[in-house]
Amino acid sequence: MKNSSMGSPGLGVALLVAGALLLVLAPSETLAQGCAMCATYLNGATDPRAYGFKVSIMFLMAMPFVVVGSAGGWILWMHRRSRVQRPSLYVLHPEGEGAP
Amino acid sequence: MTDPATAVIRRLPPPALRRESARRPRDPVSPEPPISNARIAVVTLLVAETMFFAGLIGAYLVFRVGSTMWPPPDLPRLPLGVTWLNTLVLMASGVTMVRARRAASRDDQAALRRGLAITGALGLVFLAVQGSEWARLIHHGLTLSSGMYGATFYALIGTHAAHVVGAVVWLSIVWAWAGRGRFVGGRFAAVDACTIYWIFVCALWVVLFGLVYQ
Repeated sequence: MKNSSMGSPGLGVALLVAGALLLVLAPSETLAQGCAMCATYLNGATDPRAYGFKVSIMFLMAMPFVVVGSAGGWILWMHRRSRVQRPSLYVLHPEGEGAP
Repeated sequence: MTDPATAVIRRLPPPALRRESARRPRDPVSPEPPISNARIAVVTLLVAETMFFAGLIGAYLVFRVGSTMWPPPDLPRLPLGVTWLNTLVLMASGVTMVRARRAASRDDQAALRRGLAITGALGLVFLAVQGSEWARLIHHGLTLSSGMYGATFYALIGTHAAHVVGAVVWLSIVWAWAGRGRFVGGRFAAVDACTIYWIFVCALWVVLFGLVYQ
């Protein structure tokens, strides 16, 4: 029986995408300020420390994808390789021929 | 008349036989899993370790890239020549470890023990050279409290050295097991896991050496 209170899942996804687009396409200066610590510690974009923070943030942002992607890729590769190398477990014989 | 439940229990072999059958290689009809449990455990550990080192490298990058003068002019320079040689020692240990694993897969017990012993010795040489260089740096004034340069250097390189110590301890346990003939008949999961960890420690050193010493 269908649950009428759940609503359509497509509507939820559409709302999520619309919200994400709104955040991306409506640039706000307040969103670009970052956290309070960076705003007080760094003196604008020309501060060399700001560049250090940027490089570090980019590195740390990429690392989980690299690490999890590498581990997942390795597991997938091992599974595929074993499927190719594994010989067939059951040999089909014609009726009566070779049967024990 | 026999109770059906009791009949099922009686059909099981006694505990000693069950343990023996668990040690035997698997039946060829039921295939081995594509990745062993030991390998999955080590890879999970390495994923966590990589993220731990990524955090340390991230902190190092903030200070190094954000600094106008790196290293600070009043602090000693890092010993590049000796560390290059030490890097070669660690890479050689990686090669001998891979050879030891191959020997285990060939069931060549003598080559396995020899490879593990050489790898452990090279790891100890690496640690000894690192220790002596640290003593010289501390003597010349580069300590943990001498600014961000000293703090990040000792945090990164010291954490790696602690991992090499852990790897040497692990390797010595595996070597002792190999001496007792534990890795016969194609069962060498502990050697395999130790090899993966050792290669990780070697590869991590290449990254840290390029980042910190250059």
